[in-house]
Amino acid sequence: MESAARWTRHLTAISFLLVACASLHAQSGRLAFADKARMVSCDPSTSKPCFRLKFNVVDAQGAPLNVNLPPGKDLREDMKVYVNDQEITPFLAYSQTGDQSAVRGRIALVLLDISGSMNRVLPSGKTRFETAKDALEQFLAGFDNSADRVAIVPFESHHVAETIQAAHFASTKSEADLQIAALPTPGPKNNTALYSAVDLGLDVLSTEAGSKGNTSGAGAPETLLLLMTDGKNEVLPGDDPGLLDGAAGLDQVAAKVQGSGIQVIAVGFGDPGSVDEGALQRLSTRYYMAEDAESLKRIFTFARTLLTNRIRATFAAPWEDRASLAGKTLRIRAKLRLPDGQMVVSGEQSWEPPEMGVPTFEGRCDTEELKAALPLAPTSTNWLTFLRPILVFIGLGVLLIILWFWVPRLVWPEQYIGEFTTARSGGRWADMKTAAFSGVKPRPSRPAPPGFETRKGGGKTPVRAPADRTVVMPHRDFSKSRLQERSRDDE
Amino acid sequence: MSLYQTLYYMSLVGGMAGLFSWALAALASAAFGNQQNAWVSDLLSAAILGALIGGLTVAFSDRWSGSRIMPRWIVSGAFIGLFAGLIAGLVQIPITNNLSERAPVLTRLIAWMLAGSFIGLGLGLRWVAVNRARVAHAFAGGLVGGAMGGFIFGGIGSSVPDLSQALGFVSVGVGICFGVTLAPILLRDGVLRFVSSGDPRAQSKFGRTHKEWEIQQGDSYVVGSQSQDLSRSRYRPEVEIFIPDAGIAAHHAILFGKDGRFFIARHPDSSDPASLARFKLQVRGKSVQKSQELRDSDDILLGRTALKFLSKKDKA
Repeated sequence: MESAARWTRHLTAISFLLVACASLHAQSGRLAFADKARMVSCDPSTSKPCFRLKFNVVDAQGAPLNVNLPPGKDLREDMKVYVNDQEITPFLAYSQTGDQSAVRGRIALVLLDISGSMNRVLPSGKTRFETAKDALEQFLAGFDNSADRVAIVPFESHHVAETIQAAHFASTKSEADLQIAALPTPGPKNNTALYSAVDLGLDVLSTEAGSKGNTSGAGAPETLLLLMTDGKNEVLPGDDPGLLDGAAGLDQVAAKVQGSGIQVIAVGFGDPGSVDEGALQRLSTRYYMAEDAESLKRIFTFARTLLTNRIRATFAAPWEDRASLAGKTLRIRAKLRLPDGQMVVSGEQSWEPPEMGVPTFEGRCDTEELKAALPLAPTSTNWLTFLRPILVFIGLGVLLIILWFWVPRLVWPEQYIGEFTTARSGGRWADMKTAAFSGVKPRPSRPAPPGFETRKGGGKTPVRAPADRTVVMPHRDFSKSRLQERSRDDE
Repeated sequence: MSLYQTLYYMSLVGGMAGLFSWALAALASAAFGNQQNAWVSDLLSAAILGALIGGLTVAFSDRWSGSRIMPRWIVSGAFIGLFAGLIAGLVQIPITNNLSERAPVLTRLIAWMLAGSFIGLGLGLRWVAVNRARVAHAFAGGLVGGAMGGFIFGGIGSSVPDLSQALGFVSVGVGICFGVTLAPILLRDGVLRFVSSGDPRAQSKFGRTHKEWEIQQGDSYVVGSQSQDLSRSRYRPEVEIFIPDAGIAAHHAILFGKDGRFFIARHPDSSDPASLARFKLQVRGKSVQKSQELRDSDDILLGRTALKFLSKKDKA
């Protein structure tokens, strides 16, 4: 009996601990990349290439987590970035919420499915379409006229390109409300050009963000693409020509989403079996399913929070210049210690350079980043960065010149030297034949002295007999100089 | 120039083109340092590489064949190379988008191979009239060359900046030109070798280097003395085997391989009685009126120029 009671107490304690751990896990957060890592130029503060990162703190389900980070809090001491497992401290890191993110603006594009199935009536008595319109009001809560720009665009399977490309980004809440009110009622013959809508929406949002960043001068604005659908991609005869469809269309758009770096939030609103969850997961950076009006409103609130509450970090790469990053894939992770001591970590994101050329900057550092990067300015000019490519060019050029002019003379010498006529056998002096020698004519040899000339017509010189004497021409006086001799002769 | 000398020097031309294209690409990158899309940098690099390889290979191959260098051919070659590089860059974009995160090394290798193969294809178009298979040979040669360059760039590219990138470009240039030039040499079934000429121009041009022309089954070469400036084509010479001999007609003969055999025939432009009498064509000492099959070690006399035909198949 006592042992049974003891086991019961142990089991109860273990169960309690397990529940507590599960609860903690559900609340523990992680860092989720809100944008792809972008290489930016912080010149003239530093010539090193810098990288800008953006994060959201989310829970295990992807919902934004309230971590009580004060707006604008300096997180440099609390954040660590790992690039190819090398630890780097960012020179700028802070929480960007509310007014902080308003500095450089927020742009959101909402794509709302208005296919025929959106007319289905829900248990609440409203149609899916009407429920979605109500939820959009939630998304616009806290709209800041000085910072927010929102375009709410319907899509189905007709006039898809014209409608999305004509998106107008409202700069006031009243304008945005008018856009919601002007949404057309879904028609019964409307199908769902889901893939094309996302494809076109990314282009429109990129263009708008690019022009806003260029004109404001405060740096690139925060961007978000919010997609809401109740079904799957469906393109039938009678719809617009050229709409993306099938596995190829999904692959194309999914790759574009990953490459764009824009945060895409997909919301599936409908029966679980009717929504193509697999496609929505591939077409988005974060995906949610909503079963009813309340969950839809909550998700739209999440989307708003993900746009407004972000953590920004900028760090200098440990390499001196862009050329050093050619052909180098960077695996980037980050870790942040929250005010309550909890550590949140991110997954790994890859930064890929161009396949053949030198990486190019995807933007310039804004004023905050330039100020923060000033301590990184080198004390002396790094001349090697300027001279290195010149030295490489000259060195390889010299190598090619050597290979062009010198090595062939070793490998094919017969083409660079002429033929010599050798002296005839038995003859000591060469005949008066000129040798062809690369255009240089050797001087003809002087005549052989008496007794050493070769026989005419060739043949061996006759062997001298032992009795033959060498006749030596007499000299009168060996000590006298030639000048004296000559003067005497002249006399 | 012997075949192996041709191979050696053409490879160096490719290396030179690679080096200059790296320098130009680096200058362009410095000038246009801010780009939202990485593919712009790849497109620019491939286009510059193609243009330089296309232009320089045309210039040098014409010079070594004894022909006059025609500026319009160099421009055509450069444009075709540029266009080939652009196409390679565009084809690479979806591959990079889909594959780069999962397999970055493979993606890089594919990018270089695409650039090399398309540029090689552009080079091979110059000889499509000689033998259509040359285009495939050039494509394959460029593919191998691009793989070599990509291997070097991807393998050591991050270790020594600038030098490794330059070496990668030089290697791909060497590889493309080596591959494009090697294929006809490897696949040659016969060789036409210059022996001597009574015309001092031909003797001085080919005598010292013992110029050789490789021939393979399916090839068709025009032999003649027409100068390149009289040629009306935009990209290739009308006379592939140019011999500056006064005794050789502008379009003197056609050397071709068919059904495993090689033949030399009078060119239709030189088949009239007056040309037959004036312009000599002899094989093994016998005059050729229409066509004559060639065997290994046959002596060919055109005008005052002696050539020797060597066949691999007959030897086997």
